[in-house]
Amino acid sequence: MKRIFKLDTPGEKPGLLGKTTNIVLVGLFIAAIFLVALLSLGYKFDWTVIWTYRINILRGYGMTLVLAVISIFISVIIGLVSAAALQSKILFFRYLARAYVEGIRGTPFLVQIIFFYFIIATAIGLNSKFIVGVLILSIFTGAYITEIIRGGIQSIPETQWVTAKSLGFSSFQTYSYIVFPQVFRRILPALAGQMSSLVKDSSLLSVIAVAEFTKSIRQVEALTYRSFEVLTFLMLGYLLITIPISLLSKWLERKYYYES
Amino acid sequence: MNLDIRNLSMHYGEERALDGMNLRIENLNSVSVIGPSGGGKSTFLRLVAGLEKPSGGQVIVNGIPIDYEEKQLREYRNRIGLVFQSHNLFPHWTAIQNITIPMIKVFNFSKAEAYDKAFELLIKFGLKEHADKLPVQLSGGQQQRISIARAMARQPEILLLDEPTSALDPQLTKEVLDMLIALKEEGTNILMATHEMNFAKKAADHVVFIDEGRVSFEGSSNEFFNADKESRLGEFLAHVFE
Repeated sequence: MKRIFKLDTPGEKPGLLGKTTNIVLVGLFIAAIFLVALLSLGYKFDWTVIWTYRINILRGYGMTLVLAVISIFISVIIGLVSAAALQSKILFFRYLARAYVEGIRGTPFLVQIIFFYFIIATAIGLNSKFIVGVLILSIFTGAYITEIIRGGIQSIPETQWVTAKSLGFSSFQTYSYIVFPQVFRRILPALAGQMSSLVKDSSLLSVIAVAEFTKSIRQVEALTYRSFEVLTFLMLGYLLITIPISLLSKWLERKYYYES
Repeated sequence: MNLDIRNLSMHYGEERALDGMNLRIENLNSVSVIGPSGGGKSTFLRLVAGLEKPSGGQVIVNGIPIDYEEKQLREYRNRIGLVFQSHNLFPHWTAIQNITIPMIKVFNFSKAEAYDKAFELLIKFGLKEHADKLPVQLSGGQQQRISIARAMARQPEILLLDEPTSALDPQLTKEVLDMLIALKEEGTNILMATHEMNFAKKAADHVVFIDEGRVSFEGSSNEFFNADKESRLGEFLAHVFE
């Protein structure tokens, strides 16, 4: 019995039986909390609403995925450019990048969305909510990716920069052939983690009525008043994306750990 | 090689790494630069390699003064092969890629030409079986030999080496030095900062002793190893041979 529920040392690997038993127990424990809470409210479930509105919900889910995939690409590009700007010899670029990173990381995403949508997008006549959503999500995530990449760049030893210089590589070539390929390998786990955040953060775009997953669920909720069912479904929907990313990130971490 | 160093200075803030150094080398094939750590050897090599702009003075290589403007420097660096103490190879490229990619990207070789030439070098130096290994799979000595092969691929006017064996144990040191001796015998111009007195004795035509940012002795290998025991040079020698 002891072997199933308790390890001898924190570093010990749990066996298969111990692992499965305890995971199932945790699942049951969480379910029990929800069940008790809902039963005490005397709530009657009606899961059919989800099936009824499946098309709307699926569209929203697809939109969230599309938003996330496009935004992660753009935000990595933004991160690369601004991380390079942070190391620039031209001080204007360097401080501009610093202002961007600190400005974005130091203010709430919700405020940024509203500011960008109602002030900047209106001023430049940008009407597509989808494009606004992608841009704002990319700009937001780009600031965090900048810092991840900056850390990666700084982990490249000085000798490599000097060697690249002595071999005649220009600084653009040094970044694209030598620095970034190595940095990417090192920061992949952190980048995967950031992607998971991006998926969750995209739910805030519902406040400017981008038709993504959260928005579509809120619509179904407004039509049916079936809050518990749809919100449960909403949570599961996000977990379905974020858990695989989290596993991927852990796997990459291990892989890198063995390589280095 | 001909090397003419005129009143060369390099200051880092208050510190004077090189302080009005003068040196004239004519028609020499292999020169060892020695001296205590922090005496200015590395700074001297970095300036000859065109990696930094001196605070003052001139470096004239084979009759042409180095123009320390970035654009001219880039061209100049292509005339030079450079090898550091360690971590010369880029860890994400295989041995052969470390040789070919600079040839392709900097010297505009075609891929086929670059690989042919690189294989030629690897075969010559007995490194062929390591072509597709990553640096982490190679010993320190093999890494240094690949780095030297990479530097030779550009047919440099001068091969500059900054203590290429300091990070190696004696056995690996030997394989690197043997390669350098072979290169010297073929006529490669070698300018090397080193603590390896055996190499200086065996394979250097000329020895330059740099201390406190200046050349404090310069002469043939023979003269050098028979230096006056009372001088600072003599003290240094006694110390390294102790």
